[in-house]
Amino acid sequence: MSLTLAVASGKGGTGKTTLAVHLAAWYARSGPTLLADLDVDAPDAGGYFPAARPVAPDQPVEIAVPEQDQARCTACGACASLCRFGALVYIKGMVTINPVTCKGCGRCVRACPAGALVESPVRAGRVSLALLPNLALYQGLLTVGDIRSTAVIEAVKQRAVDPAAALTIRDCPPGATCPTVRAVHGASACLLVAEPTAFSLHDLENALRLVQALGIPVGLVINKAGAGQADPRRLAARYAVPVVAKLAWSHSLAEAGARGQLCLEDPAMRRCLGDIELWLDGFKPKDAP
Amino acid sequence: MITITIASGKGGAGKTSITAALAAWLKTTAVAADCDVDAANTAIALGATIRTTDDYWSGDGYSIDPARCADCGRCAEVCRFGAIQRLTGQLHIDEALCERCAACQDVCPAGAVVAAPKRGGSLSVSATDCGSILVHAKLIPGEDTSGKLVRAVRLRAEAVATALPGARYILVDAPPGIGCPVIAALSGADLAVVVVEAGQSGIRDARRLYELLAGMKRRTVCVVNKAGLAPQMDRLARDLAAEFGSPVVASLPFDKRFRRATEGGKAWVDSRDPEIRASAMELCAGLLEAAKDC
Repeated sequence: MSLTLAVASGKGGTGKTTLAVHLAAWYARSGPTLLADLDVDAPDAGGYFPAARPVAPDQPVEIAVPEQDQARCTACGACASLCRFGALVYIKGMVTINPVTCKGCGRCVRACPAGALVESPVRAGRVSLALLPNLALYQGLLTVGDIRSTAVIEAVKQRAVDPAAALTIRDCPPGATCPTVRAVHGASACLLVAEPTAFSLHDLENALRLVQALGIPVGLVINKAGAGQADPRRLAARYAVPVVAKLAWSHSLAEAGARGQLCLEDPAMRRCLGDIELWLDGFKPKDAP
Repeated sequence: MITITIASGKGGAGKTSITAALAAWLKTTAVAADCDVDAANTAIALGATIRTTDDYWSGDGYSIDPARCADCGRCAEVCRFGAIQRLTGQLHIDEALCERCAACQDVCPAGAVVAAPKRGGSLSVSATDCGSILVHAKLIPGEDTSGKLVRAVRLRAEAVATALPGARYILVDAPPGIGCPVIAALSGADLAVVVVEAGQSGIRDARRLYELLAGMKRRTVCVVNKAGLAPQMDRLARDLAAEFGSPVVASLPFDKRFRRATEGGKAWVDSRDPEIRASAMELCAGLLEAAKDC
């Protein structure tokens, strides 16, 4: 059976990507592993694997956006009155389409009595794949200026599937709304990464509520331990969430992070990854006696 | 009125701390707007006392009334977002995946898709320890439409600032990323402050933000943060700013004392540490100088 682990946090910059890339490299040493970068606004996981071989070409993420056949349009405005995304606007007897805000729900096309709307694909982003031995790295990239992050996230999730991989790791976006929900949804387990600061704790609580509402088991990793005075343990206890691992702040880890380098030989990092592996083992189906 | 928006692309680059430093420096002449509604921390940074709070209604949410549902499955067929599934034999809308387009309601022959207004969170106006007014919001975790709430926060801050004698600046603390809520936070910015974390990820994400800002035709300045960990990254951060014609107003070193000052609940400009205070004051003076011509 294959496990899917979402790595999320609430606050940005707490160490989601750091943890996700190290976990991926750690598991890739013993078997096929998938890493899906779902932070499509700001994908950074790929930077840690410069040797990964890109598998061309990138797959476009397309939204079916309506186009207007002027000759057929009777300017009734039915389409615009239905649109919930402000993509069709009816002013002075004319319908204007803004393809950037359209989510491609298809309502307007069905509603048009004159058959004047036809869907055509508009690109919101792309999904890339790069390979290393035992590691497949899927990355979503939102087109700059586009607002449809969730569509790109969904496309990466649908592509990053391999029954042979024992573990799929999702590097999720920060926050606690639609993109994070999309990214975490359907995962077998979720690790939330917190740092010992008041900011992080506040945002961690939002993330905890979100993930628990989705019915996904949560574990907490305390990153940059010692670099702040706030203590996430009380919050973890209140939400009955285990503190799975701790990674102390060190100058060498911070420096490697700035350079985008993996630290799989760092003893503190190895301990942290080993503790996470123990926790994840608990989600594997038990062998029949 | 000058609107200064602080953004970064990458999360954790220092947006909120820089916003708080500016607010503490400008005191009553600034209204701050925390547009990172997913992870709203400016209130913690500035020591906020809530004066007024309003509910934020995010629009209609949809569900299926099992008593009326004829189980034909047409709703699931038209849903483009995979939000309608059969759970324990009954059709069900997964709120987490629903984009609220209402296509299911159009096609249901039994009128079983029910719309109900949803409270998405709340919007507050607060007094702060430094004298700036703060407009901030709380989004219910998992809720939709953060871009819409960001816009509401920004517009409320504009209204507060316009009515407030002596207010000359609106400081917008943007969310991370470059997507919908970020674009909502950047609309109306006279000056965008791009905080570039001097690391590989910080620089890559800031590049995407600069590309977005170029498309939006915004004036930008750059603050390099957490410099000194890797010298070549400091150089790359400056090169990036130069490439987009964005003057580097300040470069703040990676120094645990910055974090400690924030932890102590004090804005950097009010830190007891003279070095932190001096760096922060230089940063604020530089940013205001850049905003002068807006």
